[in-house]
Amino acid sequence: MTDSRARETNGETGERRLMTKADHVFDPLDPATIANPGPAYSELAAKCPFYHYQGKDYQFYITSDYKEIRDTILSDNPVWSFKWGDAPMDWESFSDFGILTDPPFHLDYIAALRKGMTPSRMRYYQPEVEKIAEDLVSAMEKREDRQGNFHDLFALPLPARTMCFMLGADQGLYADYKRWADELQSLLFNDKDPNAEQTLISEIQPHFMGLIEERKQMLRDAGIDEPTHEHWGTVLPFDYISLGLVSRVEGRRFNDMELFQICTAFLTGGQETTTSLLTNVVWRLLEEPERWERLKADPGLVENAIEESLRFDPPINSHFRTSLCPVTMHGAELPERSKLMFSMMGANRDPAIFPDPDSFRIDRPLNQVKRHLSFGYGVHFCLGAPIARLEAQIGLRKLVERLPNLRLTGDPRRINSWIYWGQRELPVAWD
Amino acid sequence: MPAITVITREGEERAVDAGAGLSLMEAIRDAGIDELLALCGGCCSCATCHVKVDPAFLPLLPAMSEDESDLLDSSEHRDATSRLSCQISMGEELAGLRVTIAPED
Repeated sequence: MTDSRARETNGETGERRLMTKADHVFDPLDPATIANPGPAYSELAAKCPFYHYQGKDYQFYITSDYKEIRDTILSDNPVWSFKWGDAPMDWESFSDFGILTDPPFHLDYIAALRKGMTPSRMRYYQPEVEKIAEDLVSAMEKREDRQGNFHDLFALPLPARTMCFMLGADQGLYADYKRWADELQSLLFNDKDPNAEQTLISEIQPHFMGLIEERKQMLRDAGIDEPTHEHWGTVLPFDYISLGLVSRVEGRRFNDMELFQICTAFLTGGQETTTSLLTNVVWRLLEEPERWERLKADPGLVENAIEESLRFDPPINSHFRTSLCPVTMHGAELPERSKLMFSMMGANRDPAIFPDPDSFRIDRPLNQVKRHLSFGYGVHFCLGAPIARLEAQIGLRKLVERLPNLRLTGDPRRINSWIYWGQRELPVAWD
Repeated sequence: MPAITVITREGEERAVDAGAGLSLMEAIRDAGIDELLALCGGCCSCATCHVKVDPAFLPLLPAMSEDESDLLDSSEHRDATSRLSCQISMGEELAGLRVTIAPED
């Protein structure tokens, strides 16, 4: 977004003003920013790494400073709290369970759930993810028209079916899982959509409560009153709901509503983001066909390409935190309960951390490119990062091997959001 | 503050003062040795703070948890001296500790 375009947009609301010294106007809701967020957030990071946004609908601070985000915001809990939600406005009450909590509870919660994300679990998931990717690419090969929307044919079903597998549900439900995730996402963002509330109560809750009850029955049938990790993968299947049933948090068991919340956290956290990663990386690789040719010539660069995509096109461009006390930042006094957006998209383009940051390059060394903040950092580092990476690497490798002449046939269309970044239409063809 | 020696991947020896109460990972990171990624910030979730510990100090370290061992299994470079530096709390008993940052996976 250019400054002149931003001023035009903001000119309609003359009361907006800057509280920073920099002569830069930025609006995350500007259509030009939404259409092409990378350059806009990069420019903001360069010109005004700390910014006070005072829009019509939302008012919050934005930091794009890599080291501040990593070493202060994400390392300083609970001054910068997650419990008031991940949105530019507060929830009605703060969250005391699940992902959106602060230490010490959050650490205990993550300790219970990370057992499903360890390297040995990844080795367990890998053959199934390979099989799903194989199914999808085979279905693409069989299409007579040799073309279609990459989002629908591959990028959406791969994570959605993997999610069904991880939660212990029938993979045939994947389209429902994606629809549910989309509706839950709007609730998470505190957008009071009555349809989403209704879906939650009438469809999502009965489905997962049914899966929970099935597993409880397995324990009863085996005469087990006090399940332990020994029963996970033996009496119970090796899925996430079963992990919840054998786990303890703060010395107690999860209750049914908490188990249900684990399911919904997985639904929202593990689908659209990975779908976006897949659409973003394939788009960037095909946009400049020599990138795709280079990857074909050296498939060893698959992981570098995935990490570069995460850096350059983070599927979530920013998160929010809420201050639990007054804070001074860059000379500004922020009151308690200030909303701070930290821009991973901007921080990922810090030239002091990433040379030539506005270029997409698949040959960046892994130890350099993996410094991106797209999975966060610290206690809220994305729990699902290992499975997202596994899916993306397996998926991209499969595409390079099996559809070597994959090519773009039109312009992508982005998902409808100013916080999330991915493509819902990516028209491709193959031979 | 216990003084320790950190050997980088290039073989450079760096003297580091490890503040009491810090983890070894935090001490290395605070010394500006940023080749140790330590992405999860010390939650034992990512295995990007893998170090090799001088065998003489291994008996002084806290026992390895199942999760730490599982994460280390993901490294091609694991050996008997491998630890995740986020799981080692620095105290005076570790003065003189020598660790080498493990090769990248």
